[in-house]
Amino acid sequence: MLVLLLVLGLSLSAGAVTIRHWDWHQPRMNLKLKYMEEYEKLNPDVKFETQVIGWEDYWTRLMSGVAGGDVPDIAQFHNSQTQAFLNHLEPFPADLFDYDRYKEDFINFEAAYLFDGTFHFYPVGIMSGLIFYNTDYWAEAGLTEADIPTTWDEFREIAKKLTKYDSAGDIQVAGFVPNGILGVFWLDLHYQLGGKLYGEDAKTVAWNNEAGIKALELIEQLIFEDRVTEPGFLGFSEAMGTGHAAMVYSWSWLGGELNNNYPDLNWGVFRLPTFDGKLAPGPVARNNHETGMSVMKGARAEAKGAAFEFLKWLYEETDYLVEVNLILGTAPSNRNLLDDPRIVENPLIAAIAEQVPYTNIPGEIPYEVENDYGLGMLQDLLFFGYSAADALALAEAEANGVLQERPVKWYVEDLYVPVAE
Amino acid sequence: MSQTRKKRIDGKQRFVLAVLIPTVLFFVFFSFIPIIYAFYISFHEMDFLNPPAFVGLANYKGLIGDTHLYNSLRVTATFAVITVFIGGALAFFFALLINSVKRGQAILRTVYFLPVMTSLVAVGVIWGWLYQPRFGLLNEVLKIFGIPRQMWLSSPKTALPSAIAASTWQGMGFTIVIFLAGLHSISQTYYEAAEVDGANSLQKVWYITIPLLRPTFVYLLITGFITGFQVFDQLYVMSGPLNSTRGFIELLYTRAFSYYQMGRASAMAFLLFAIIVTLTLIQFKIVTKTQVEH
Amino acid sequence: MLRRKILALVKWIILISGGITMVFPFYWMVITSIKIQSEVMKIPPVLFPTKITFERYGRVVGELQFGRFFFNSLYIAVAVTLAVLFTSSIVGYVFEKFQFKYRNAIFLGLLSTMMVPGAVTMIPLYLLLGKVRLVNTHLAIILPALGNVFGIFLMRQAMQSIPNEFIEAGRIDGASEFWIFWKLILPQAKATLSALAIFTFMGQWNSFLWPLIVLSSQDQYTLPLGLRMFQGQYWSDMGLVMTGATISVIPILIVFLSMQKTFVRGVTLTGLKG
Repeated sequence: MLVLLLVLGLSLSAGAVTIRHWDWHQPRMNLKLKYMEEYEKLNPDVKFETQVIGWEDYWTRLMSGVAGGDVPDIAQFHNSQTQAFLNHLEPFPADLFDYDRYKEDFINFEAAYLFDGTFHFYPVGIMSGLIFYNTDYWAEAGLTEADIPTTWDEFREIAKKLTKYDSAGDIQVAGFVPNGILGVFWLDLHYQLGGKLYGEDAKTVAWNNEAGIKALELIEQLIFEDRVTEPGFLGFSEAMGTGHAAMVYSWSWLGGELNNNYPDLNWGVFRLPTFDGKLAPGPVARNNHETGMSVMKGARAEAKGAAFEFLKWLYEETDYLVEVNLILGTAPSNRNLLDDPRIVENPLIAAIAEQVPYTNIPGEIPYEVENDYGLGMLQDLLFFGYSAADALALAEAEANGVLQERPVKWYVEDLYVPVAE
Repeated sequence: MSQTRKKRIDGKQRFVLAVLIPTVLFFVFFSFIPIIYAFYISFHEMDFLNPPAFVGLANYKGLIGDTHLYNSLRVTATFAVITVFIGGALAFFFALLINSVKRGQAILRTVYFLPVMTSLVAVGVIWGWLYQPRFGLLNEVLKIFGIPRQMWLSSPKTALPSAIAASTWQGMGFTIVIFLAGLHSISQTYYEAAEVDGANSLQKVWYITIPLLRPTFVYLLITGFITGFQVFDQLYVMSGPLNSTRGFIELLYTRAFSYYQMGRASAMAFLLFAIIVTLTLIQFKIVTKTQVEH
Repeated sequence: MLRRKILALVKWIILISGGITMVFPFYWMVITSIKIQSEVMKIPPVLFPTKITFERYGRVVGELQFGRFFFNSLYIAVAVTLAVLFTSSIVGYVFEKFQFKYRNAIFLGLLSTMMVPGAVTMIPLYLLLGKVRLVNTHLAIILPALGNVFGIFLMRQAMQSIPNEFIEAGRIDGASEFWIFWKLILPQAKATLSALAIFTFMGQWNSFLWPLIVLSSQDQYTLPLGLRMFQGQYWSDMGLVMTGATISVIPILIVFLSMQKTFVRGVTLTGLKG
């Protein structure tokens, strides 16, 4: 057997090759290192050289690397950078990767991965917004799993019930904290009411309309009528972690953060409520994909073939995909893995998996549209006295300005197919 | 006599040239060439990822009417003016106090320099908590005096003053050390002479310390504006809502490294360059004028 | 006499209360690095931890090629600091004490290089160094750091308070220009030199983005590059970040404390007898 492997290894590679790889996420790199070590044993001619570069600097480094001709052979990729880097990624070769099968197996494969008929980064997992809740406060209030709300009306009642005030009437434990992520939360509500992120061809955003106003008014009621949170309260992640929130809205990565930074906290998670309690036909929320690795065009020629061989092995012949989804708090993009017992038993991933078929991916959202010149403004405008309509009008105008300066080319929002009930 | 004089001048010249030529060559290679390249980029649509396209003055024309840019300039100018003048005055005050102490001066110097050494992430976290409207220490203190809760960094109105206050506090140790170095080069004999004349502490500061520290003041004024207009980290770790603390360099960074619009960012850089050069020339004019009057 | 005592008391109250606010974040940084995980992120912050742990220090030192990163950082920072002290003082001296054509224009030209934001010259410089095959070496970090305009300016200003008589006296004795600078002038600028040494060392020690861009093999990494690995996209471990911050402050603190002495010594050297 060993001899066979050796012969195979020698025949495949025309000599020793060192594959360079970069990632920005240390826990994921640790998992990769485990598999790389295994692969080095199977293929004595292949060696790996890895580097972790923090997220904020990763793309600047990759950009200067492309400009100066110093790039890793395999780069961890993120789809928010598609527009900038697509030209510099090698397409996955069809003789090694089975495109037809992927169209069947991977959720959103055509919308999120195929560009001009090829894909350039491997599908890994899907994230979406969920409600995290503090199970101790939940039990204190006499609530059980059966009380998990499915409609926003039920949700409001429970949020009120869970809010605790101190003797001066200030909020001690907020029933529900959207602070710090309010705009992103609003977009999901907007989807639920039939709204969209973008107008025609993503030249503008489509926020200041009936659906948008109604969605923002629900948040307004939670804050100013129900008083389950207030302007200037802690941000969602801090509030949840420090026990100052009974429920928060967040994307699924919060799970890892809570486990790591607040080990004593007892928490649970459930899918987003809707206005009528049902998920179908959707969309009930936005999703985004945590994409996998890419082979760089600027990689050394002798390393490219070996790089694709390794990716094929890692993604399709090992347990890596299940394990990395568990680390990232994402539901596997590959439908076949959704039934894996390790995925089903993880409550966080089970909750996303339940919601994911009813979520939509709009395509690229420029950073600024999601933050300072767009969705991010909604919270502050609402907190400082703007009406829902005025807040949406202002944020919309700023976001449109950004879209004019920096047009969105990857736009797939309309590809969503409503799910039958 | 005239022979030795000529030789002497040659020796001086040789010394000046031996220092200046490598200096100028160094800056040409490591500064001017990259700057000229950046200037070239400012006439292009360029992201280092695709072939550049010449766009003429479009990047510069785009600066006109750019409200985000105007806002960031206002934020940055406010920051620079306040940190240079109020921050400078505070640092001078503390430097004088520290300098007047005989025992324990070394400890005080270290203590006042600690914030400069402390990681900016830690500084951001601590100030974030001090300023936190609901659970922060500052509002707890105000409550004792019956003053209502303030929003500090969480309100567009108070965010910039709050961020500047925290940043001034954080960077004060740097300025204090420069003042202390200047104070230590003032000969003690001046003060002894003044004491004989019966001058009090305030008079000594006014008539001796301040005039003799003139080179230090000039240095801090000019470099303070050059660095103040390029502030990034300090405002970045303490950001307020609705772009109320978003400075010029942060906007430039976003355009350069999030939008990959190097051409636009470079045009912005040269606008800032023009502003700082103008300010510096005016400052030099004022400085040389007052020097003549002295 | 009583008035004097009250003034002294007020002075100390101001200095000490100011000092407490100065120490506070530093204290918090150090204490957070040894808190147990459940106390790291509390609101309000835990100021007096119930239990302490040094486990993170073991992890930071163990998981990184710590010794190598530390050594790389140290020798780069020391080399740059020594070089900058020399270049800044000699160039500053020439600009202050010699008359030559275009003196002010050249000086302004140098100063103007500080007015173009580094964000737009960083990649051009990187490409330039690539052309001369300097990338992925420590020279790519050290060389561009050798000329420090703010250092030159600071030393030029410090030279203003050194009387010209010193130089003339040296020349009458027949000393060479370099000897005058090295033996007569430099010792008088000690206080400012040590301030410059502290700033340069600190700036180089903390330098992050430029080393990241010019270095591509992990063996060459400096400490800040290694420590940044603990901050991810959705993932940052405050305890680990503060551990790294505390470790990297130690050399700066040592440099600061050792430079302290010259602040006192500078005074005694002045006083030229005419």
